[in-house]
Order: sequence, then C-alpha cells, then structure tokens
Amino acid sequence: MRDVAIIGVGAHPAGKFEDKRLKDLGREAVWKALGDAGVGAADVQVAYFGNSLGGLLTGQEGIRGQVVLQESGLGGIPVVNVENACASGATALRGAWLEVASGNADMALAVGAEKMFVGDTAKSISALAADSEIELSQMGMQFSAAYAIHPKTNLKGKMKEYGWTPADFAKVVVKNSHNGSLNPYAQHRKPLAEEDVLTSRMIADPLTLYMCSSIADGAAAAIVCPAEDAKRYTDKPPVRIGAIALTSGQYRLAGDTKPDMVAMTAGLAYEAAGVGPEDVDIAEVHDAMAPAELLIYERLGFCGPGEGPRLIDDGVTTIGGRRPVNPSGGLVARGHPVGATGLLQVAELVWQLRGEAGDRQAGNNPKVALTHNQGGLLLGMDSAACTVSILLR
Amino acid sequence: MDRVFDLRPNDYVMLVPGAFHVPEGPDDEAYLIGSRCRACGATVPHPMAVCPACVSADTMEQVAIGQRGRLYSFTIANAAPVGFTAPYFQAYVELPEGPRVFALISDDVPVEADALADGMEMELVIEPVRKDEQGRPVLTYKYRPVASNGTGA
Repeated sequence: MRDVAIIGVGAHPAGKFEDKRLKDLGREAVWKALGDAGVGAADVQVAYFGNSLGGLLTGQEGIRGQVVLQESGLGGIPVVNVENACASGATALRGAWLEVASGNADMALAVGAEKMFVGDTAKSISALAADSEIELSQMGMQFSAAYAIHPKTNLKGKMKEYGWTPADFAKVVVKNSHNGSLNPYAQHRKPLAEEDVLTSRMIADPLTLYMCSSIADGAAAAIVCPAEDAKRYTDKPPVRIGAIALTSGQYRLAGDTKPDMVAMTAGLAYEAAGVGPEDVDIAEVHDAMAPAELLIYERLGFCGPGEGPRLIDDGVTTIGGRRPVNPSGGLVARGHPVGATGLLQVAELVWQLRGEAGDRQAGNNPKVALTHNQGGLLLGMDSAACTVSILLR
Repeated sequence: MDRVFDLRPNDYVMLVPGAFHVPEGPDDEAYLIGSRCRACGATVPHPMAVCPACVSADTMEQVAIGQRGRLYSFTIANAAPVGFTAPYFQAYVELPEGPRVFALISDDVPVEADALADGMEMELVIEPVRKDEQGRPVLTYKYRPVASNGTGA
C-alpha cells in the first residue's frame, strides 16, 4: 500500500438552494477541489461519487455519478457510484484512497453530493426513512424518534442510565451552533443559547427541533494522490490518510455483548493509523441528532461512559479546547446533506490541519484528525455503515 | 372498522408483507412471524433465512412470536413520513423470546406521554394505519398495554 495524501478539497455550502440541481452542487465542489489541488479535470484518473437520496428525491435513480461528473467536465474515466446512506461520502473517499494506495491510479477524486430540498418536506423525510431496512421504513419509523428510543442510542434511556438532562443535550447544540456561526459553509449560522434549544418545538422527546439535523442541499469533494507526489501539485501542507475504516452492521441478538459498532470501527482505524484516541487533536463526528455526540465521545474513546457532558463543560471539545469536536458546526449546524456529509467533514479537517479554517480555526495546532460518518439502520439493530477515518499532517 | 378477523385477505393489504399473521377467525390470534434456529436457538422477530448466530443456511424455521412483551422504550414523534400522521407513538417492545422489536402503539392509547411507561406489559394487536388508494385498510401490528382493554382477550 502506498501512502496517500489529500491535496485538494472543495465544498458547496450546505443549505437550501432551490435553483440548483444535484449536478450544480456537485460541479461546484469538484471544481473547487481541482482548484485547491492545482490540477485539472484531465488529471483525474478515477472518480467515486457518493449520494444516497437522489433516486427518490430527484428521480435520477441510476448513473448519478456519471451525470454529475459529465457536468463537471470529467468523462472517459472509471466512475463508481457509491450509496451507503449517510456514510456515502466517507465511503466514496475510501474508494479513491484505495485506488491510489493500491497503485491502480495516481490521482483519484471523491465527491459527495445531495439535493434534499424538493419542495415537499414529507417526501424528504420519507426518503431519509428509506435509508433504513424497508421493514422499518414501512412501519413508519422516524429517524429522530429512532435516536430517542433505539436500543443502540436510546437517548431517552441514557437520561435515566447516566443522569443526562435536556440541558446536557442542549449544550452540544450551543457549542456546535457557535461553531456553525463562524463557518461560511454552514446551513445554520445563528448561534443558539441553551434556552433557544430547550424551548424549540419538540420533535421526539427528548429531542427538540434545534437538536436535530435538518434537510439540506450540499456537496464536497477531495482529490488524492500518492503522498510522495503531493509537492508536485501544491505548496499547501499535504494531509495524509492514516486510515479509513469501514464496517457494516452485525446482527445483534438478544444479550449481545459484542463491542459497539462505532467503538469497533474506531478501534480498526486507530490500529491501522498507529494512533490512539489520546492522540486525536480534532474530530468531526456524526451528530445527526446533537445529543448523540455525547455517546460518540465515549465510543471513540474520548471519555468514559456517561462523561460526555463534562467534556463540553470543561471546554475540551470547543474550538479553543484541547480536542475540538465538530468545529464546522457538525451535522446540526454546518448541515447534513446526506451523501455529502462525510466529505464535508473531510474538507473541514483538511482546512483545520492546514490552518485555513478562518474564524473557526482550532487553537491547538492540530496534527491528528478523526472523522466519524455513519448511516442507515438494519433490522439486526446496528447501523448499516460506519466509517472512522484518521487524517494526519 | 370491521373486526380484523371479519376481513377476507383480499379486503386488506399488509403494511409489512409477511411480518405478521392476521387472525382469520374469532379463535385465531395475531402474532409476529419470527424465525428460530433449530441448531442454536437464536430467535429473531422477522423472517430470516440464515441464522445470524451460527450462520447455518438451512436451520431457520418460522415461529409465532411477539404476542406479549414489555415496553422497552417509547416516544412521540411530531414529524412523520408520508402515510403516517404526527403526532404518533414509536416504540421498542422487548419480547419474552428475547428480541426487541420496533412497533407502533394501538389507536386505543391516547397520544400522550403519560399514557405509557417503560416496562409495561404489552400485547399485540392488528390495526389499520390508513386506507390504500382503493379504500382497503392497510393493516399493521401494534402493541397496547395489557390493562387497556381490561381482559387481555
């Protein structure tokens, strides 16, 4: 395996862009990434395209990647369509990484794009629900409610188990909305106070509106090449891919004692990259419902069971802290255009590792970064796909 | 609506085909169609061909499960996908056979937070969630507290 570096990233802001099609969102991200890397469209030898809901929401059921890349001026090369629910973006990057790591290609592109605003909110909610195994979506399972009651997250149950309070949940949103207010790519740029969060409309007890990520359009892209070639293209500090671990759900029978899926995936990534949770300087994690960030802390090894709220109280995970988490604003503030999210996380961390993140630049001179991007729900209880990636400067 | 067992199979559609049994007469009972492994005993609350525990391909047999259970968790969803009307309950019910199953809650139960409590003993019912384009009831399984109909019958 060759060492691989990310030499360019680009993003289309997350938000509501009624006059833009999926291919407009994707094209903008691709061209920004090409410009950032200092390469041309013709230099790209293979492309992986992540998208999840385009079939149901735009009617473009097949060939989405070829459609977006043709619009971007890329043709004739292998284009691989990737669908892994909310983890499609990171999964696309994994494909591009392996193309270069294996020696099969010397320059690869990963793109994630999603168009969720189609003028019908119920349709968008239904499309999201279809990222669950069909027997669950047919039953009317709603994603916010699932985070509240599903045995693997059970945020309502965690309140009893850990003594977590609605105020603990709200402080994740306060932190992430502050970060989002500083991010020009963010969908929601209003900083929220604890009271705003707690008094917003109840979506599914204990989750209020501002604790839930919302519908978004958006896109992001990354360009990778062999690490030893990076200097040929760009003077910017190359960001090496230390690991991209991808797992699928395991069937969890009654009394299951196997490690949690996020913990297991993180363990694989740490081992492959030769780092541990204590080495992680900065992270972008999958806070589709903000309070889940507290659970993700413990599953990534950032704290012990139930200790998540303390990391926020002590300022550890704020932008100025020892280990900023979701400096972009995360899914709740930066936005969650499903198939783009994993690559939006990667773009944010590349900017952070280079020191290019502007007002939201982490104050701890980060060198080791982690992304966690997860999606889908199986009847066997686990998520469908979970990725943890380690990026290194 | 008519009693469920008065409906002929052509008179209704199933929300999740093959997931549950609709009573065919007053002496017949609703149940979930689960699968149990003859070799290792693993039980899942839905039809499944390969045992997820011992990974045998020819040992899973269908079993009737889920007639009773305990409420594991619940919430009220105030946003709904197409075909459902918010607010509505979402729940997980822990079955005596082991698995926890996602479930809706009977229309008999008012959609209020204090109408349910974790740990409550629940029973399976078959109810319509809506009508299809041809006016046929779309049936699904739901749960309700055992006490709520007085007799458990």
